Amino acid sequence: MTTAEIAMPLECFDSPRPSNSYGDISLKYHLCRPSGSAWGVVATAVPAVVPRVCETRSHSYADVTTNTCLNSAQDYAAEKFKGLLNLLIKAMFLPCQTDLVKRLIELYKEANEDETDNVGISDESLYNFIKFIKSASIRVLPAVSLTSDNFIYASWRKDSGHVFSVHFLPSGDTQFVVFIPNTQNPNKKTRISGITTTERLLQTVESNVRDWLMV
Amino acid sequence: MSKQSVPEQDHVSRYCSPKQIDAGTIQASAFILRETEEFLSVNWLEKLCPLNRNGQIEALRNTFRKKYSLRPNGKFVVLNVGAICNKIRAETTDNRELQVTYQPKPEDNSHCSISNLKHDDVLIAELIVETIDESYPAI
Repeated sequence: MTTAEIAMPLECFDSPRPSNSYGDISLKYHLCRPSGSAWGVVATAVPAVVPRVCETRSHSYADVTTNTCLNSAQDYAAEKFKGLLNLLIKAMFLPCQTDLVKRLIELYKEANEDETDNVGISDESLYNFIKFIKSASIRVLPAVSLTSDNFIYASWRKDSGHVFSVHFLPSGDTQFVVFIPNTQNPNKKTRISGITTTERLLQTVESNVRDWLMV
Repeated sequence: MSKQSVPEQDHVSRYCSPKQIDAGTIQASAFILRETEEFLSVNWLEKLCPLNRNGQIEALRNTFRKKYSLRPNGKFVVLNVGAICNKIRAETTDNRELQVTYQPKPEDNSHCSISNLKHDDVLIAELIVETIDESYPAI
């Protein structure tokens, strides 16, 4: 079901789509690939029956129990990721919206390849990012990256020295910073930073980003 | 053993994975602490044997290869210790004093820490990005 949902919007990508790009099949394969470390983090997001199976941690892919569990956990994480992408796709209004989806898929792959304790993008963090993108009338595509904890970090920049960056935490909080050139003193910048919830973020920063970021 | 501060004229390098680079540009996400971290890990370049930058980066690549696989699109960024400490001190409301301290590890003799960061330091991460001198491919 989810595969079909994501396959349709991905047709919107620049055509012709290369055979090894993010089609539903290659995405499915990649997202299910065992990465060998710390998949228990992923397992915490799996329905109750799966973590019980996952309690015995092993890196051996020959271990059928582990392999089954790993695939279940990663399949579940992949399904959640695809569901969130569909949420974004359905709400799309950014001029370069397919680029954003492509970027998130790239980040998902990188996060799974990274040999750290965290596997995959934090789905709560991604959800909060999408929620903000949906709610704000932002017309500029952000640079999107991941912190070491695999939380979404979005950054909008303008050559004139404007910066608006947001760290989307799984809790629903956001840590943000705004840099604005000081027209009265070109050697100085106004810097505003703080913490607020995803729902309040736009209202908190709007007066400082409206003229260069919003519709 | 007393902790040794890295001299202000020296340089440290931090590995940035591809997930922290967008369109070739290093993002501030590379300088945000994990929830479980107390400091940012960096490497003291002048502590590595070769005196030229390329040699130092190659030595750093060799050190990292012992720990984990470097990603093809990852980068090592170079930061001047004095530049980051002075910028953070001058441009934060609490005049934050970052400490860059030599903390060698068994398989990582040039390992250092940047401490006195807080877990909500998006501002400091953005300021550090502005001080990046150079970057080199991880591989």
